Amino acid sequence: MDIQLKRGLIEICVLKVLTVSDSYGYQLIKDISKCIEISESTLYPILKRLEAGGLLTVYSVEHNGRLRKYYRITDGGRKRIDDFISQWKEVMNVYDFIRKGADDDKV
Amino acid sequence: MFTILSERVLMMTKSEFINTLIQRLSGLDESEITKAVAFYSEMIDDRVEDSMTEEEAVESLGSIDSIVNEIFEQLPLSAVIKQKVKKNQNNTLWIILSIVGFPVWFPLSVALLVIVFSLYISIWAIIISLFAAVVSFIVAGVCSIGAGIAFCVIKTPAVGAAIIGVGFMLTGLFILLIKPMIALCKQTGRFTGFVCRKLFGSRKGKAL
Repeated sequence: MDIQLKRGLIEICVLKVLTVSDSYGYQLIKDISKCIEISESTLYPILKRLEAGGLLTVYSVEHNGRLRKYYRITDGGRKRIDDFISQWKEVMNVYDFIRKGADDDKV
Repeated sequence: MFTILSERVLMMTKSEFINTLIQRLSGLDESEITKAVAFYSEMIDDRVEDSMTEEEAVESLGSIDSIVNEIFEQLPLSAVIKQKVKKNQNNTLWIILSIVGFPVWFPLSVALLVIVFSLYISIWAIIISLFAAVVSFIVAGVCSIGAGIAFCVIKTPAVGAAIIGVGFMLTGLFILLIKPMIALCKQTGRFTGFVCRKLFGSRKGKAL
């Protein structure tokens, strides 16, 4: 998959996972891996960008004598998901258009 | 070579990995490095808790190259060039101002240039017309003297003498005015040379 497209999709996946409950890095990787291949090196900059954009907030929780960072979605983050879903309808139209064109070409 | 490198990654412990990461990120903001180290060390700890060995956990993070690349790639451009921009801030401000102000300063400076040039041309036009007037004195003077003599011979000597007198007057005026006129020309020429030398001279000085 195109790397930029993948980053964009993972962003939404992260936000989606966080709508269920607050989560931390490794758990996010495990949850998102069910739907799309993801590595730490991809996740780290995405989390940073989402935080910088105010789509999620970060807080630390002590866990087994160390600090673990938890991420919580903001209202802005929820809105981002809604925007994505409404925009994706347009993308699906384009997909159908291209798909139809490709099928016609084959005939 | 490649297998040796990947074996080294495979063998890395957490502290080795963190040290390498710090080394590879050197040059970035300290807070940037601290954040990255905190994130990756948490990742390793969580994997170890998830029953992996330290080395396995490090290995599962992927190559350190891609980790470092992703961090650099995703950094806002401002963070990467912050240092450089600080140095050139004044310069940049000037460049931005001159670009933004282009619609204002460009027509203004062109207008100024045109005004200065037309003033210069008009100075020379005045000099040339004065010259023409002075030259017309001598032409008219000589012609009057000739005509006066002819008048004396052919018609009334008194009128002829008067015309010769006017001719002498005009010639006298020419002789009187021609010296200051030449001086005026020379002065204007010298002034032009002076201004040119100032402009080009200062430019040469700057270039050197």
